[in-house]
Amino acid sequence: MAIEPPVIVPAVQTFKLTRTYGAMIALNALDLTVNKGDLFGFIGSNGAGKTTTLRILATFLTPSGGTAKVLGHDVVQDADAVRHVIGYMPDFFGVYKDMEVTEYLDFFGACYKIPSAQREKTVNDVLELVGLTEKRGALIGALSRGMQQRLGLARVLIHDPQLLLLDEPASGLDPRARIEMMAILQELQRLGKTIIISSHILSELQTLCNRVAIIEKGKLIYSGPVDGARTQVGAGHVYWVRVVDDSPRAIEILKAREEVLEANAVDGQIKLTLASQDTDPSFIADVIVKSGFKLTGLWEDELGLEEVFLRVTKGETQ
Amino acid sequence: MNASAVILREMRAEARRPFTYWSRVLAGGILLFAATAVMQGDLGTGVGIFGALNTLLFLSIWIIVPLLTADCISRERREGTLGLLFLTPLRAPSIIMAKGLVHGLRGASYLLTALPAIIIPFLLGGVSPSDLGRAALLNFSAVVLALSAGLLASTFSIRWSRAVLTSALLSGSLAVALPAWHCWLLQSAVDRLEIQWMLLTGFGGKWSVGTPGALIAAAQVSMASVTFFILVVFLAFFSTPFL
Ligand SMILES: Nc1ncnc2c1ncn2[C@@H]1O[C@H](COP(=O)(O)OP(=O)(O)OP(=O)(O)O)[C@@H](O)[C@H]1O
Ligand SMILES: [Mg+2]
Repeated sequence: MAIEPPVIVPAVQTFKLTRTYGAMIALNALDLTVNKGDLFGFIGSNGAGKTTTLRILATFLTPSGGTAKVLGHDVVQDADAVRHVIGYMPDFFGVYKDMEVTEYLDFFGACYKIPSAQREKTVNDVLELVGLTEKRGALIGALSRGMQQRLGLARVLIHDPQLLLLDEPASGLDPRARIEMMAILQELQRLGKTIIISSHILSELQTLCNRVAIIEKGKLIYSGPVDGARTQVGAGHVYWVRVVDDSPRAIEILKAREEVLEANAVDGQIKLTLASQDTDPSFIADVIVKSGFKLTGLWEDELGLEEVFLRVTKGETQ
Repeated sequence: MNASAVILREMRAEARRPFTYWSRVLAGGILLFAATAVMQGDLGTGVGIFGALNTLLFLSIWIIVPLLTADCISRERREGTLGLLFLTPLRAPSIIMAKGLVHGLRGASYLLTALPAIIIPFLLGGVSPSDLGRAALLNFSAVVLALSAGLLASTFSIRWSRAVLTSALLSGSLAVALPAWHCWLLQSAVDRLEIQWMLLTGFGGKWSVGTPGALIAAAQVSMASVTFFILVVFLAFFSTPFL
Protein backbone atom coordinates (compact mmCIF):
# COMPACT_ATOMS: atom_id res chain seq x y z
CA MET A 1 0.00 0.00 0.00
CA ALA A 2 1.43 3.31 -1.05
CA ILE A 3 1.72 5.98 1.57
CA GLU A 4 0.35 9.26 0.31
CA PRO A 5 2.45 12.31 1.04
CA PRO A 6 0.76 14.67 3.51
CA VAL A 7 -1.09 17.47 1.76
CA ILE A 8 0.16 20.80 3.03
CA VAL A 9 -2.67 23.30 3.01
CA PRO A 10 -1.42 26.87 2.63
CA ALA A 11 -2.83 29.45 5.04
CA VAL A 12 -4.05 31.53 2.12
CA GLN A 13 -4.28 30.72 -1.53
CA THR A 14 -5.93 32.90 -4.11
CA PHE A 15 -6.43 32.02 -7.73
CA LYS A 16 -7.03 34.80 -10.26
CA LEU A 17 -8.75 36.77 -7.54
CA THR A 18 -10.53 39.75 -9.09
CA ARG A 19 -12.70 42.50 -7.70
CA THR A 20 -14.24 45.31 -9.70
CA TYR A 21 -16.15 48.39 -8.67
CA GLY A 22 -18.10 49.35 -11.76
CA ALA A 23 -15.50 49.86 -14.47
CA MET A 24 -12.70 50.16 -11.95
CA ILE A 25 -10.60 47.05 -11.39
CA ALA A 26 -9.45 47.05 -7.78
CA LEU A 27 -7.95 43.56 -7.92
CA ASN A 28 -6.72 42.08 -11.14
CA ALA A 29 -6.30 38.27 -11.22
CA LEU A 30 -4.24 38.07 -8.05
CA ASP A 31 -2.47 34.78 -7.38
CA LEU A 32 -1.20 34.82 -3.85
CA THR A 33 0.04 32.06 -1.57
CA VAL A 34 0.81 32.49 2.10
CA ASN A 35 2.24 29.52 3.96
CA LYS A 36 1.38 28.51 7.49
CA GLY A 37 3.61 30.18 10.04
CA ASP A 38 4.50 33.08 7.76
CA LEU A 39 4.68 36.62 8.96
CA PHE A 40 3.65 38.00 5.62
CA GLY A 41 4.02 41.64 4.63
CA PHE A 42 1.53 43.04 2.15
CA ILE A 43 2.84 46.17 0.47
CA GLY A 44 1.34 48.55 -2.03
CA SER A 45 0.71 52.25 -2.61
CA ASN A 46 -2.57 53.93 -1.76
CA GLY A 47 -5.36 52.27 -3.70
CA ALA A 48 -3.24 49.28 -4.73
CA GLY A 49 -5.86 46.85 -3.42
CA LYS A 50 -4.51 45.74 -0.04
CA THR A 51 -7.65 46.46 1.91
CA THR A 52 -9.78 44.95 -0.84
CA THR A 53 -7.77 41.71 -0.68
CA LEU A 54 -7.93 41.51 3.10
CA ARG A 55 -11.67 42.22 3.13
CA ILE A 56 -12.25 39.41 0.65
CA LEU A 57 -10.17 37.03 2.78
CA ALA A 58 -12.17 38.13 5.83
CA THR A 59 -15.44 37.33 3.96
CA PHE A 60 -16.51 40.97 4.14
CA LEU A 61 -16.48 41.39 0.40
CA THR A 62 -17.29 38.92 -2.35
CA PRO A 63 -14.86 38.58 -5.24
CA SER A 64 -16.05 39.43 -8.76
CA GLY A 65 -13.98 36.57 -10.12
CA GLY A 66 -11.46 33.92 -9.15
CA THR A 67 -11.29 32.08 -5.85
CA ALA A 68 -9.71 32.51 -2.46
CA LYS A 69 -9.15 29.83 0.12
CA VAL A 70 -8.26 30.34 3.75
CA LEU A 71 -6.80 27.25 5.40
CA GLY A 72 -8.58 25.19 2.79
CA HIS A 73 -11.98 26.86 3.15
CA ASP A 74 -13.46 28.82 0.29
CA VAL A 75 -14.25 32.39 1.33
CA VAL A 76 -17.56 32.42 -0.53
CA GLN A 77 -18.90 28.88 -0.16
CA ASP A 78 -17.57 28.26 3.30
CA ALA A 79 -17.63 31.73 4.85
CA ASP A 80 -18.64 30.56 8.33
CA ALA A 81 -15.69 28.18 8.54
CA VAL A 82 -13.37 30.95 7.37
CA ARG A 83 -14.64 33.40 9.99
CA HIS A 84 -13.95 30.80 12.62
CA VAL A 85 -10.25 30.47 11.82
CA ILE A 86 -9.39 34.10 11.11
CA GLY A 87 -8.96 37.20 13.21
CA TYR A 88 -9.50 40.32 11.12
CA MET A 89 -8.51 43.79 12.21
CA PRO A 90 -9.83 46.35 9.69
CA ASP A 91 -7.93 49.57 8.94
CA PHE A 92 -10.71 51.51 10.63
CA PHE A 93 -12.89 49.95 13.27
CA GLY A 94 -15.10 51.21 16.05
CA VAL A 95 -15.11 50.27 19.69
CA TYR A 96 -17.87 50.50 22.27
CA LYS A 97 -16.61 53.52 24.13
CA ASP A 98 -18.99 52.99 27.03
CA MET A 99 -17.59 49.57 27.93
CA GLU A 100 -14.68 48.59 30.12
CA VAL A 101 -11.72 46.79 28.56
CA THR A 102 -12.47 43.42 30.15
CA GLU A 103 -16.20 43.73 29.47
CA TYR A 104 -15.46 44.37 25.82
CA LEU A 105 -13.27 41.30 25.43
CA ASP A 106 -15.65 39.19 27.49
CA PHE A 107 -18.48 40.29 25.21
CA PHE A 108 -16.63 39.14 22.10
CA GLY A 109 -15.68 35.93 23.88
CA ALA A 110 -19.38 35.33 24.51
CA CYS A 111 -20.21 36.11 20.86
CA TYR A 112 -17.69 33.44 19.88
CA LYS A 113 -19.45 31.09 22.31
CA ILE A 114 -16.42 30.57 24.53
CA PRO A 115 -17.77 28.96 27.75
CA SER A 116 -18.00 31.55 30.51
CA ALA A 117 -15.79 29.48 32.86
CA GLN A 118 -12.98 29.70 30.34
CA ARG A 119 -13.56 33.28 29.26
CA GLU A 120 -11.96 35.03 32.18
CA LYS A 121 -8.69 33.24 31.68
CA THR A 122 -8.73 33.87 27.93
CA VAL A 123 -9.38 37.56 28.47
CA ASN A 124 -6.51 37.79 30.98
CA ASP A 125 -4.18 35.96 28.61
CA VAL A 126 -4.81 38.20 25.62
CA LEU A 127 -4.61 41.33 27.78
CA GLU A 128 -1.25 40.17 28.99
CA LEU A 129 -0.10 39.42 25.47
CA VAL A 130 -0.93 42.88 24.14
CA GLY A 131 0.26 44.59 27.31
CA LEU A 132 -3.05 46.02 28.44
CA THR A 133 -3.33 44.27 31.80
CA GLU A 134 -2.97 47.53 33.70
CA LYS A 135 -5.88 49.05 31.80
CA ARG A 136 -8.27 46.17 32.32
CA GLY A 137 -10.78 48.21 34.28
CA ALA A 138 -10.56 51.36 32.17
CA LEU A 139 -13.39 52.70 30.03
CA ILE A 140 -12.52 52.19 26.38
CA GLY A 141 -13.44 55.77 25.53
CA ALA A 142 -10.66 56.89 27.84
CA LEU A 143 -7.94 54.82 26.12
CA SER A 144 -5.41 56.44 23.81
CA ARG A 145 -5.38 55.62 20.12
CA GLY A 146 -2.48 53.22 20.53
CA MET A 147 -4.18 51.42 23.38
CA GLN A 148 -7.40 51.10 21.40
CA GLN A 149 -5.32 49.61 18.61
CA ARG A 150 -3.92 47.08 21.06
CA LEU A 151 -7.40 46.36 22.27
CA GLY A 152 -8.35 45.71 18.65
CA LEU A 153 -5.53 43.20 18.45
CA ALA A 154 -6.66 41.59 21.71
CA ARG A 155 -10.16 41.27 20.27
CA VAL A 156 -8.80 39.58 17.19
CA LEU A 157 -7.04 37.02 19.37
CA ILE A 158 -9.92 36.18 21.70
CA HIS A 159 -11.08 33.07 19.82
CA ASP A 160 -7.53 31.89 19.19
CA PRO A 161 -7.63 32.07 15.37
CA GLN A 162 -4.88 30.51 13.28
CA LEU A 163 -4.65 33.31 10.76
CA LEU A 164 -4.49 37.02 11.56
CA LEU A 165 -5.38 39.57 8.90
CA LEU A 166 -4.15 42.95 10.07
CA ASP A 167 -4.85 45.99 7.91
CA GLU A 168 -2.28 48.62 8.81
CA PRO A 169 -2.31 47.81 12.52
CA ALA A 170 0.48 50.29 13.24
CA SER A 171 -1.08 53.29 11.52
CA GLY A 172 -1.48 56.24 13.82
CA LEU A 173 0.87 54.84 16.43
CA ASP A 174 3.92 56.67 17.73
CA PRO A 175 7.34 55.10 17.06
CA ARG A 176 7.53 53.40 20.44
CA ALA A 177 4.04 51.97 20.16
CA ARG A 178 4.87 50.76 16.67
CA ILE A 179 7.96 48.94 17.82
CA GLU A 180 5.95 47.39 20.63
CA MET A 181 3.24 46.33 18.19
CA MET A 182 5.88 44.68 16.00
CA ALA A 183 7.28 42.85 19.01
CA ILE A 184 3.81 41.54 19.81
CA LEU A 185 3.43 40.30 16.24
CA GLN A 186 6.75 38.50 16.44
CA GLU A 187 5.65 36.86 19.67
CA LEU A 188 2.42 35.78 17.96
CA GLN A 189 4.37 34.25 15.10
CA ARG A 190 6.45 32.39 17.64
CA LEU A 191 3.20 31.06 19.10
CA GLY A 192 2.48 29.53 15.71
CA LYS A 193 0.09 32.04 14.18
CA THR A 194 0.15 32.95 10.53
CA ILE A 195 0.01 36.71 10.13
CA ILE A 196 -0.69 38.88 7.13
CA ILE A 197 0.03 42.52 7.76
CA SER A 198 -0.46 45.37 5.36
CA SER A 199 1.46 48.49 6.12
CA HIS A 200 3.08 51.57 4.72
CA ILE A 201 5.94 51.44 7.19
CA LEU A 202 8.20 49.41 5.00
CA SER A 203 11.38 49.61 6.98
CA GLU A 204 9.59 47.82 9.78
CA LEU A 205 8.14 45.12 7.57
CA GLN A 206 11.66 44.50 6.30
CA THR A 207 12.93 43.24 9.62
CA LEU A 208 9.62 41.84 10.78
CA CYS A 209 8.40 39.74 7.88
CA ASN A 210 9.90 36.61 6.41
CA ARG A 211 7.96 37.03 3.18
CA VAL A 212 6.40 39.95 1.36
CA ALA A 213 4.08 40.58 -1.55
CA ILE A 214 4.10 43.81 -3.46
CA ILE A 215 0.98 44.80 -5.37
CA GLU A 216 0.34 47.69 -7.67
CA LYS A 217 -2.97 48.63 -9.28
CA GLY A 218 -4.47 45.34 -8.16
CA LYS A 219 -1.70 43.26 -9.75
CA LEU A 220 0.87 41.16 -7.97
CA ILE A 221 4.36 42.40 -8.76
CA TYR A 222 6.41 40.33 -6.41
CA SER A 223 5.81 37.63 -3.84
CA GLY A 224 8.53 35.84 -1.93
CA PRO A 225 11.32 36.39 0.59
CA VAL A 226 12.37 39.95 1.35
CA ASP A 227 15.84 39.32 -0.11
CA GLY A 228 14.36 38.07 -3.35
CA ALA A 229 12.59 41.37 -3.80
CA ARG A 230 15.96 43.13 -3.65
CA THR A 231 17.54 40.92 -6.28
CA GLN A 232 14.55 41.26 -8.55
CA VAL A 233 14.94 45.01 -8.77
CA GLY A 234 18.69 44.70 -9.35
CA ALA A 235 19.94 45.65 -5.95
CA GLY A 236 23.41 44.42 -5.09
CA HIS A 237 25.23 46.42 -7.72
CA VAL A 238 25.44 49.71 -5.86
CA TYR A 239 28.57 50.34 -3.79
CA TRP A 240 29.82 53.14 -1.57
CA VAL A 241 33.44 54.30 -1.56
CA ARG A 242 35.17 56.65 0.85
CA VAL A 243 38.60 58.14 0.10
CA VAL A 244 40.79 60.69 1.85
CA ASP A 245 40.94 64.02 -0.09
CA ASP A 246 40.16 64.82 -3.71
CA SER A 247 37.16 62.62 -4.32
CA PRO A 248 36.17 64.49 -7.54
CA ARG A 249 39.29 63.15 -9.23
CA ALA A 250 38.61 59.65 -7.88
CA ILE A 251 35.13 59.88 -9.39
CA GLU A 252 36.65 60.80 -12.76
CA ILE A 253 38.94 57.80 -12.65
CA LEU A 254 36.12 55.43 -11.65
CA LYS A 255 33.82 56.78 -14.35
CA ALA A 256 36.46 55.98 -16.95
CA ARG A 257 36.11 52.25 -16.17
CA GLU A 258 33.72 50.34 -18.39
CA GLU A 259 32.35 48.28 -15.44
CA VAL A 260 31.03 51.47 -13.91
CA LEU A 261 27.66 52.80 -15.05
CA GLU A 262 27.54 55.81 -12.80
CA ALA A 263 29.58 57.46 -10.07
CA ASN A 264 28.74 60.55 -8.09
CA ALA A 265 29.43 62.27 -4.81
CA VAL A 266 26.80 61.91 -2.13
CA ASP A 267 27.39 63.34 1.35
CA GLY A 268 31.18 63.34 0.91
CA GLN A 269 31.16 59.73 -0.26
CA ILE A 270 31.12 58.18 -3.68
CA LYS A 271 28.06 56.26 -4.80
CA LEU A 272 28.98 53.77 -7.48
CA THR A 273 26.53 51.93 -9.72
CA LEU A 274 27.99 48.99 -11.63
CA ALA A 275 26.84 48.20 -15.13
CA SER A 276 26.20 44.56 -14.36
CA GLN A 277 25.19 42.61 -11.30
CA ASP A 278 27.75 39.91 -12.09
CA THR A 279 30.80 42.18 -11.96
CA ASP A 280 33.35 41.28 -9.27
CA PRO A 281 33.49 44.43 -7.14
CA SER A 282 37.06 43.82 -5.98
CA PHE A 283 38.38 45.93 -8.90
CA ILE A 284 37.10 49.07 -7.16
CA ALA A 285 39.62 48.85 -4.33
CA ASP A 286 42.34 48.01 -6.84
CA VAL A 287 41.73 51.05 -9.00
CA ILE A 288 41.48 53.45 -6.07
CA VAL A 289 44.65 52.28 -4.37
CA LYS A 290 46.69 52.03 -7.59
CA SER A 291 45.74 55.63 -8.47
CA GLY A 292 47.36 56.73 -5.22
CA PHE A 293 44.24 57.43 -3.10
CA LYS A 294 43.84 56.39 0.52
CA LEU A 295 40.80 54.10 0.64
CA THR A 296 39.02 54.36 4.01
CA GLY A 297 35.80 52.54 3.19
CA LEU A 298 34.11 50.30 0.64
CA TRP A 299 30.75 48.67 1.21
CA GLU A 300 27.74 47.33 -0.59
CA ASP A 301 24.61 49.42 -0.59
CA GLU A 302 21.94 47.94 1.68
CA LEU A 303 18.96 48.57 -0.50
CA GLY A 304 16.05 48.96 1.89
CA LEU A 305 12.64 47.56 1.23
CA GLU A 306 11.46 51.10 0.89
CA GLU A 307 13.72 51.71 -2.08
CA VAL A 308 12.88 48.33 -3.57
CA PHE A 309 9.25 49.27 -3.28
CA LEU A 310 9.75 52.64 -4.92
CA ARG A 311 11.63 51.10 -7.82
CA VAL A 312 9.11 48.36 -8.38
CA THR A 313 6.02 50.49 -8.24
CA LYS A 314 7.24 53.58 -10.09
CA GLY A 315 5.13 55.61 -7.71
CA GLU A 316 1.90 55.04 -9.57
CA THR A 317 -1.32 55.31 -7.66
CA GLN A 318 -4.75 54.94 -9.03
CA MET B 1 -28.48 31.98 18.21
CA ASN B 2 -26.40 33.50 20.96
CA ALA B 3 -28.26 36.74 21.37
CA SER B 4 -27.71 36.77 25.12
CA ALA B 5 -24.28 38.38 24.78
CA VAL B 6 -25.78 41.27 22.83
CA ILE B 7 -28.69 41.59 25.26
CA LEU B 8 -26.33 41.87 28.23
CA ARG B 9 -24.08 44.35 26.47
CA GLU B 10 -26.98 46.49 25.36
CA MET B 11 -28.55 46.55 28.84
CA ARG B 12 -25.26 47.50 30.41
CA ALA B 13 -24.69 50.27 27.89
CA GLU B 14 -28.20 51.64 28.42
CA ALA B 15 -27.84 51.49 32.17
CA ARG B 16 -24.72 53.64 31.91
CA ARG B 17 -26.39 56.29 29.81
CA PRO B 18 -27.54 59.14 32.07
CA PHE B 19 -30.27 59.91 29.54
CA THR B 20 -32.00 56.62 30.38
CA TYR B 21 -32.46 57.60 33.99
CA TRP B 22 -33.45 61.21 33.43
CA SER B 23 -35.91 60.51 30.63
CA ARG B 24 -37.69 58.05 32.90
CA VAL B 25 -37.87 60.55 35.72
CA LEU B 26 -39.16 63.11 33.26
CA ALA B 27 -41.82 60.78 31.82
CA GLY B 28 -43.06 59.79 35.27
CA GLY B 29 -43.10 63.43 36.35
CA ILE B 30 -45.08 64.60 33.32
CA LEU B 31 -47.67 61.89 33.77
CA LEU B 32 -48.11 62.65 37.49
CA PHE B 33 -48.41 66.34 36.72
CA ALA B 34 -50.95 65.57 34.01
CA ALA B 35 -52.85 63.34 36.42
CA THR B 36 -53.25 66.12 38.97
CA ALA B 37 -54.15 68.61 36.23
CA VAL B 38 -56.70 66.26 34.76
CA MET B 39 -58.27 65.54 38.12
CA GLN B 40 -58.74 69.24 38.78
CA GLY B 41 -60.43 69.63 35.41
CA ASP B 42 -64.01 68.83 34.61
CA LEU B 43 -63.70 65.31 33.34
CA GLY B 44 -65.78 63.74 36.03
CA THR B 45 -64.39 60.85 37.93
CA GLY B 46 -63.15 57.42 36.97
CA VAL B 47 -63.62 56.71 33.28
CA GLY B 48 -63.03 60.28 32.11
CA ILE B 49 -59.75 60.72 33.93
CA PHE B 50 -58.60 57.26 33.01
CA GLY B 51 -59.32 57.94 29.36
CA ALA B 52 -57.42 61.21 29.37
CA LEU B 53 -54.35 59.74 31.05
CA ASN B 54 -54.40 56.65 28.91
CA THR B 55 -54.52 58.82 25.79
CA LEU B 56 -51.50 60.75 26.98
CA LEU B 57 -49.63 57.51 27.61
CA PHE B 58 -50.69 55.99 24.28
CA LEU B 59 -49.60 59.10 22.44
CA SER B 60 -46.24 59.29 24.19
CA ILE B 61 -45.45 55.67 23.33
CA TRP B 62 -45.51 56.51 19.61
CA ILE B 63 -43.08 59.32 20.23
CA ILE B 64 -40.72 58.01 22.90
CA VAL B 65 -40.19 54.38 21.85
CA PRO B 66 -39.15 55.04 18.22
CA LEU B 67 -36.91 57.86 19.40
CA LEU B 68 -35.13 55.52 21.80
CA THR B 69 -34.80 52.74 19.25
CA ALA B 70 -34.13 54.61 16.02
CA ASP B 71 -30.37 54.83 16.40
CA CYS B 72 -29.62 51.46 18.00
CA ILE B 73 -28.35 49.77 14.83
CA SER B 74 -27.53 52.75 12.63
CA ARG B 75 -25.23 53.99 15.37
CA GLU B 76 -23.26 50.74 15.37
CA ARG B 77 -23.00 50.91 11.60
CA ARG B 78 -21.90 54.55 11.76
CA GLU B 79 -19.26 53.91 14.40
CA GLY B 80 -17.96 50.77 12.71
CA THR B 81 -18.79 48.33 15.48
CA LEU B 82 -21.45 46.35 13.61
CA GLY B 83 -19.09 44.71 11.12
CA LEU B 84 -17.00 43.25 13.92
CA LEU B 85 -20.10 41.49 15.24
CA PHE B 86 -20.63 39.77 11.90
CA LEU B 87 -17.15 38.29 12.14
CA THR B 88 -18.40 36.28 15.12
CA PRO B 89 -21.06 33.58 14.73
CA LEU B 90 -23.69 36.27 15.43
CA ARG B 91 -26.14 36.89 12.58
CA ALA B 92 -28.50 39.73 11.79
CA PRO B 93 -31.69 38.18 13.29
CA SER B 94 -30.02 37.58 16.68
CA ILE B 95 -28.75 41.13 16.76
CA ILE B 96 -32.13 42.62 15.80
CA MET B 97 -33.96 40.35 18.25
CA ALA B 98 -31.60 41.24 21.07
CA LYS B 99 -31.87 44.94 20.42
CA GLY B 100 -35.63 44.67 20.03
CA LEU B 101 -35.90 42.89 23.35
CA VAL B 102 -33.77 45.36 25.26
CA HIS B 103 -35.48 48.42 23.82
CA GLY B 104 -38.84 46.73 24.27
CA LEU B 105 -38.00 46.37 27.95
CA ARG B 106 -37.09 50.03 28.06
CA GLY B 107 -40.44 50.87 26.51
CA ALA B 108 -42.13 48.66 29.06
CA SER B 109 -40.33 50.46 31.84
CA TYR B 110 -41.96 53.69 30.65
CA LEU B 111 -45.31 51.96 30.92
CA LEU B 112 -44.40 51.06 34.48
CA THR B 113 -43.55 54.65 35.39
CA ALA B 114 -47.03 55.53 34.17
CA LEU B 115 -48.68 52.88 36.29
CA PRO B 116 -49.10 54.92 39.50
CA ALA B 117 -50.77 57.75 37.60
CA ILE B 118 -53.10 55.40 35.77
CA ILE B 119 -53.99 53.51 38.91
CA ILE B 120 -55.44 56.61 40.66
CA PRO B 121 -58.58 56.91 38.50
CA PHE B 122 -58.98 53.16 38.72
CA LEU B 123 -59.20 53.52 42.49
CA LEU B 124 -61.70 56.37 42.07
CA GLY B 125 -64.05 53.85 40.54
CA GLY B 126 -65.88 53.48 37.27
CA VAL B 127 -63.11 51.67 35.42
CA SER B 128 -63.64 47.95 35.20
CA PRO B 129 -60.82 45.37 35.30
CA SER B 130 -61.71 44.48 31.72
CA ASP B 131 -61.11 48.13 30.71
CA LEU B 132 -57.76 47.96 32.37
CA GLY B 133 -56.96 44.72 30.56
CA ARG B 134 -57.90 46.25 27.22
CA ALA B 135 -55.81 49.33 27.90
CA ALA B 136 -52.83 47.13 28.82
CA LEU B 137 -53.18 45.05 25.63
CA LEU B 138 -53.55 48.08 23.38
CA ASN B 139 -50.63 49.90 24.97
CA PHE B 140 -48.56 46.76 24.62
CA SER B 141 -49.42 46.69 20.91
CA ALA B 142 -48.42 50.31 20.61
CA VAL B 143 -45.03 49.56 22.22
CA VAL B 144 -44.42 46.59 19.92
CA LEU B 145 -45.39 48.51 16.79
CA ALA B 146 -43.45 51.62 17.75
CA LEU B 147 -40.47 49.38 18.50
CA SER B 148 -40.75 47.75 15.08
CA ALA B 149 -40.86 51.19 13.48
CA GLY B 150 -37.68 52.23 15.29
CA LEU B 151 -35.83 48.99 14.50
CA LEU B 152 -36.85 49.01 10.86
CA ALA B 153 -35.74 52.61 10.44
CA SER B 154 -32.45 51.87 12.19
CA THR B 155 -31.70 48.83 10.04
CA PHE B 156 -31.90 50.82 6.84
CA SER B 157 -30.12 53.98 7.96
CA ILE B 158 -26.65 55.12 8.79
CA ARG B 159 -27.14 58.76 9.70
CA TRP B 160 -28.82 59.59 12.99
CA SER B 161 -31.10 62.20 11.45
CA ARG B 162 -32.33 59.83 8.77
CA ALA B 163 -32.94 57.04 11.26
CA VAL B 164 -34.97 59.31 13.52
CA LEU B 165 -36.94 60.85 10.67
CA THR B 166 -37.78 57.48 9.11
CA SER B 167 -38.79 56.04 12.44
CA ALA B 168 -41.03 59.04 13.12
CA LEU B 169 -42.72 58.60 9.72
CA LEU B 170 -43.17 54.87 10.21
CA SER B 171 -44.39 55.31 13.73
CA GLY B 172 -46.82 58.02 12.63
CA SER B 173 -48.28 55.78 9.94
CA LEU B 174 -48.69 52.91 12.36
CA ALA B 175 -50.31 55.23 14.89
CA VAL B 176 -52.97 55.93 12.26
CA ALA B 177 -53.26 52.38 11.00
CA LEU B 178 -53.67 50.74 14.39
CA PRO B 179 -56.78 52.64 15.55
CA ALA B 180 -58.36 52.29 12.12
CA TRP B 181 -57.89 48.59 12.14
CA HIS B 182 -59.04 48.33 15.74
CA CYS B 183 -62.25 50.13 14.81
CA TRP B 184 -62.77 47.84 11.87
CA LEU B 185 -62.37 44.84 14.21
CA LEU B 186 -65.02 46.32 16.48
CA GLN B 187 -67.25 46.53 13.41
CA SER B 188 -67.75 50.23 13.85
CA ALA B 189 -66.14 51.70 10.80
CA VAL B 190 -65.41 55.27 11.78
CA ASP B 191 -63.40 57.26 9.31
CA ARG B 192 -62.47 60.12 11.61
CA LEU B 193 -59.14 59.56 13.29
CA GLU B 194 -59.91 61.35 16.53
CA ILE B 195 -62.98 59.17 17.06
CA GLN B 196 -60.94 56.07 16.29
CA TRP B 197 -58.41 57.19 18.87
CA MET B 198 -61.15 57.90 21.40
CA LEU B 199 -62.47 54.38 20.97
CA LEU B 200 -58.98 53.04 21.39
CA THR B 201 -57.93 55.02 24.42
CA GLY B 202 -61.22 55.87 26.09
CA PHE B 203 -60.68 59.61 25.73
CA GLY B 204 -63.66 61.75 26.65
CA GLY B 205 -65.25 58.75 28.33
CA LYS B 206 -65.80 57.17 24.92
CA TRP B 207 -64.78 53.82 26.26
CA SER B 208 -66.30 51.10 24.21
CA VAL B 209 -67.31 49.12 27.27
CA GLY B 210 -70.31 47.08 26.40
CA THR B 211 -69.22 46.88 22.75
CA PRO B 212 -69.21 43.15 22.13
CA GLY B 213 -65.81 41.67 21.52
CA ALA B 214 -63.82 44.68 22.73
CA LEU B 215 -61.38 42.61 24.72
CA ILE B 216 -61.06 40.12 21.86
CA ALA B 217 -60.31 42.93 19.42
CA ALA B 218 -57.57 44.20 21.73
CA ALA B 219 -56.07 40.72 21.91
CA GLN B 220 -56.20 40.41 18.12
CA VAL B 221 -54.46 43.74 17.74
CA SER B 222 -51.74 42.58 20.14
CA MET B 223 -51.18 39.37 18.26
CA ALA B 224 -50.98 41.20 14.94
CA SER B 225 -48.43 43.60 16.40
CA VAL B 226 -46.22 40.76 17.55
CA THR B 227 -46.48 39.19 14.09
CA PHE B 228 -45.48 42.50 12.58
CA PHE B 229 -42.43 42.61 14.85
CA ILE B 230 -41.37 39.12 13.77
CA LEU B 231 -41.75 40.19 10.14
CA VAL B 232 -39.47 43.14 10.80
CA VAL B 233 -36.82 40.79 12.21
CA PHE B 234 -37.03 38.67 9.08
CA LEU B 235 -36.81 41.71 6.86
CA ALA B 236 -33.68 42.76 8.72
CA PHE B 237 -32.22 39.33 8.04
CA PHE B 238 -32.33 39.98 4.31
CA SER B 239 -30.81 43.39 4.64
CA THR B 240 -27.69 41.87 6.30
CA PRO B 241 -26.13 45.21 7.07
CA PHE B 242 -22.39 44.94 6.78
CA LEU B 243 -19.60 47.37 7.73
N1 LIG C 1 -16.48 50.77 -2.13
C1 LIG C 1 -15.73 51.12 -3.17
N2 LIG C 1 -16.28 51.67 -4.26
C2 LIG C 1 -15.52 52.02 -5.32
N3 LIG C 1 -14.19 51.85 -5.38
C3 LIG C 1 -13.58 51.32 -4.33
C4 LIG C 1 -14.31 50.92 -3.16
N4 LIG C 1 -13.43 50.41 -2.27
C5 LIG C 1 -12.22 50.50 -2.85
N5 LIG C 1 -12.30 51.04 -4.08
C6 LIG C 1 -11.19 51.26 -5.01
O1 LIG C 1 -10.44 50.08 -5.10
C7 LIG C 1 -9.06 50.37 -5.15
C8 LIG C 1 -8.31 49.58 -4.11
O2 LIG C 1 -8.65 50.09 -2.84
P1 LIG C 1 -8.05 49.51 -1.49
O3 LIG C 1 -8.79 50.14 -0.38
O4 LIG C 1 -8.01 48.04 -1.55
O5 LIG C 1 -6.56 50.09 -1.53
P2 LIG C 1 -5.42 49.96 -0.43
O6 LIG C 1 -4.29 49.27 -1.06
O7 LIG C 1 -5.94 49.41 0.83
O8 LIG C 1 -5.04 51.49 -0.24
P3 LIG C 1 -4.59 52.28 1.10
O9 LIG C 1 -3.13 52.10 1.21
O10 LIG C 1 -4.94 53.71 0.76
O11 LIG C 1 -5.36 51.77 2.23
C9 LIG C 1 -8.93 51.87 -4.97
O12 LIG C 1 -8.67 52.45 -6.23
C10 LIG C 1 -10.25 52.32 -4.47
O13 LIG C 1 -10.57 53.59 -4.98
MG1 LIG D 1 -6.14 50.12 2.80
